[in-house]
Amino acid sequence: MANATETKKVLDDSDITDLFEHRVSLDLTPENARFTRSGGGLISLEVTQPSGKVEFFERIVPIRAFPISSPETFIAIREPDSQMGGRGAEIGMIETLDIFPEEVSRMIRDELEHRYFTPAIQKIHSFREKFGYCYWDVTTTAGRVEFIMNNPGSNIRTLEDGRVFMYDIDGNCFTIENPAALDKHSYKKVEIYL
Amino acid sequence: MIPILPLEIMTEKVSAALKAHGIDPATPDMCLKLDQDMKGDYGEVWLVYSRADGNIYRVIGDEVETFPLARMTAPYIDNYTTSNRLQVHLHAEDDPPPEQGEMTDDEFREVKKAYANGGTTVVLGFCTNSVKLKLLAFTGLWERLDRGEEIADDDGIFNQFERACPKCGRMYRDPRNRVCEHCVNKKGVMGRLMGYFMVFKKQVFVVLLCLLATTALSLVNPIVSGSILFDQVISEPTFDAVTGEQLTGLMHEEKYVYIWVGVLTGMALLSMGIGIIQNRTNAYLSTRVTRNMKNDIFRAMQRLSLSYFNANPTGKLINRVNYDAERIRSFFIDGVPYFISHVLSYIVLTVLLFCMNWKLTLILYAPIIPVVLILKFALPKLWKCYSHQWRRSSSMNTMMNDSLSGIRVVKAFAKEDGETSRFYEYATKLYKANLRTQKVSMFIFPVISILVAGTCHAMWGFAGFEVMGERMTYGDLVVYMGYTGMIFGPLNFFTNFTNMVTDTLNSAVRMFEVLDQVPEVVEAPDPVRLDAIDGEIVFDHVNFHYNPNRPILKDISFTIKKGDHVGLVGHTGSGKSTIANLITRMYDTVSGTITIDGVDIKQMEMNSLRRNVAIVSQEVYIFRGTIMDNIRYARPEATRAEVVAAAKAANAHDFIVNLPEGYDTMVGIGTRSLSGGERQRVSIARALLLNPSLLILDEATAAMDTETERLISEAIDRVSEGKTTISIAHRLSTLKNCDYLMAIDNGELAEMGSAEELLEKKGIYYKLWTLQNEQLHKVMEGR
Repeated sequence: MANATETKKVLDDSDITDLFEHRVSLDLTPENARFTRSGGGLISLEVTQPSGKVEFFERIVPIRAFPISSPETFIAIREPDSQMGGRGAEIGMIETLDIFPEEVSRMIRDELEHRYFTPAIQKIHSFREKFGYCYWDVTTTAGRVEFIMNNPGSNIRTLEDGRVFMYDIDGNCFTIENPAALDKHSYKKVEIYL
Repeated sequence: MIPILPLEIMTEKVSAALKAHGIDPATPDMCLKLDQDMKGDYGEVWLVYSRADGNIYRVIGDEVETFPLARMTAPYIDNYTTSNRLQVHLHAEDDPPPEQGEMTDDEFREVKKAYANGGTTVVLGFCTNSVKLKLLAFTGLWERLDRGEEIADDDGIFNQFERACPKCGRMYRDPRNRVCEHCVNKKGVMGRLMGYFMVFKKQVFVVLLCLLATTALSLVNPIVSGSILFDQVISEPTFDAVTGEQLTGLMHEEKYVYIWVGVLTGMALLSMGIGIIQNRTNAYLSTRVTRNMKNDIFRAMQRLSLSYFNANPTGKLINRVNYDAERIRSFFIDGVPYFISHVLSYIVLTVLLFCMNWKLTLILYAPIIPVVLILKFALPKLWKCYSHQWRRSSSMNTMMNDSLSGIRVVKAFAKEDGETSRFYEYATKLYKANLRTQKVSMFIFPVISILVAGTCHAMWGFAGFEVMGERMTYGDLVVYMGYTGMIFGPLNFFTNFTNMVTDTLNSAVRMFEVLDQVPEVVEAPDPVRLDAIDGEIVFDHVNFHYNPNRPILKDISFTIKKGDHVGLVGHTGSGKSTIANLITRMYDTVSGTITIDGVDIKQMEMNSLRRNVAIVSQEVYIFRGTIMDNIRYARPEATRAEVVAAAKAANAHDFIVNLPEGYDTMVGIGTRSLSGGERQRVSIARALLLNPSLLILDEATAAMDTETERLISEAIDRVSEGKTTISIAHRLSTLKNCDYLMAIDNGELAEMGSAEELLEKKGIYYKLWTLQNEQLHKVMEGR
């Protein structure tokens, strides 16, 4: 649709160059990354690129690379994926939270807990099954809640290490950290699905 | 008083809290209850939107916080797998929104965008996925209310909340009549199922009659062989010691042996005959009932809208058609009749036996309770074992399948030994599961056998004394022995029956769920019929989202005039294909209208629309059949000449005639497979044969090489002379013949105009164009 000279001309435009520049994910350490609380109570990040360039992000999105098998390591820090700003690119990765000062790691950990909201079931008050739907009434680490589960056979997943993950009809996730540690009454109600 | 939108009903507590802070609880337009508190635990936080006050109020308990709408931009749901939060950009008081002033529309857009992303990001609230749909609706409504739109209570956005029963989460049969049938009427399900059988009243009657007859025969049989053959024919005559009445040997003659053995044989033959009749009737009945059920389900599915199929994977649907109908059939054929006959025979047996000798009957009935208990409590364990075993075996199969399908990779990385040991692991797990099942079943059934055998022996012993003491006859003993089987046999069936009922009800509910689904897209009651359309399309403030995703199209308005060739460009996921889906009414808009030739497509007859609008999408499906059949799928009456003409126009003729069987070549699953480009061309021919007034090409040439694409786009230009054509493409070269282009960005119509105009704007089209040219440039320079 366009001949070569035309293409050439367009390419000379300066604003085009950043079209092709992709962000390179960094190894984030306390030396190159400074996490702070943002004005709105979220997490801000000031990062120093290897080139010496300092970038500031009003808010960042932490993501667990291994949310189930290793939630404390390999935390990806990404630009927010907002409607306006398009898809969030990865700024860098924290290999383990421990290398950061206590308050920073707690801030990130809190944020992760918020995002990966997975209440642990501590007590099962009632459990009924009817027409393939299960009705649960449980006390969790986040408070008491009732939920409905469809097809318990495929929505309850027991891991190799004995932890149990379950999903309700809305896609909410619950866990039982150690089914054997549940009280006898609660355990009996769910035994056959584990 | 402004009526509050039906998103959520405000509770007394919330309105009291608002009142306490001097806010009139009658002014808000809508409110939303979030189910997490600000710490992230379960709790209750209310957001109240009031356009009149220009505020959003956050109500937590008695506390009310005020967020002025004018200072908030870009409400955004930061959603994660299991939690969502509503974020907004809050601007300082001295940072007012920009005003257009001298700026052009495009400049103003950019400025507005920059402003929207400025300020401080604050969190308005958190919620779990249970509130996600409502939260999405809340933000959607918020944006629309901010734009000044008037939203009515019956806006399309509220439909999603009316359809599901709050109790069980299932869809209402009739959204206007908010009664969840599953929760209200369970007997109704059984009744409806019976309806399928009641069509064949005569056959049902015959089957029941046969059952009664066989039950009666099986009850009479031991009496004939015991009380008559043994006592009266074979036994020596005996007499009651007191009254002198003859007790046995009344027919102690040779001829009676022949007669009664003959009667027994006759009964056996009769019961066989009845069995044959019953089975034949059953076969007649069950095959027809299953066919009717499957047919109903399939018809209901065909009627449903595309969104249903997006939500339900094909495998699940096929399973529904086959498995559920089959299970219901087996319940009514193998379950209910036997249940009736077993119950009947139990009642008759109990009465009969207690009359004959109550002590012996007690012995006979004694083990029933332990046997039932064992079955009741041990069988679930066995089922658990079986399901465990089944899971192990299926995961072993999956592993095997996985490994053999990927054998190239296995060999390439020399992982044969690793795979073998992995298989060994799976096989070991399976054998362990097998072993456990065997152990459990080897425990349950012998125990039951011992109980039953013990009973028999106890009976022999006890009855022996009774017979010797002449308190009962030898024949009665034979009768008892004959009945033991009838007592213990059905016990297993009975303990299973409740499960059978639940399973069947599950299947039935699933089946009726499909049958009762209301299609999302329905034809208007009195539709407008159009024989031919000109092809003028108008989008008027169209909003759309695929339930339950985020908004896909936001306030889109445009007009495409008759005969225009329009190109739609934009990033993947920007909403281009959605526009095509809306024009063909695969989905209905959430708000706003689409008109063709001035007629709202919701009012148009579905047939008129689909006959005049043809769509070729990137996903082509070739049905099983000949190429000829595939091309004339939409118009089976088309002549050979027309088919060939369409194929030529789609540039498919050449490759088709080069096939050994030409247009008669069988294609589709399991037969000759066509390449991506060939399938694409067949589907274009299919669309062209319809001779539509409006042609939509949704990435139709994406799977072809540039040369073929050029040929096809030329062909399309030839046939689309005077027709309205909409081309959707990400490869811009596809669109070079378009009269004008529309660039869609993030669900908004960002740019519209000829290619040259758009290039000058330096917007989205310019970016895409530059990116594609850059790649070309690299190739040319050999970089």
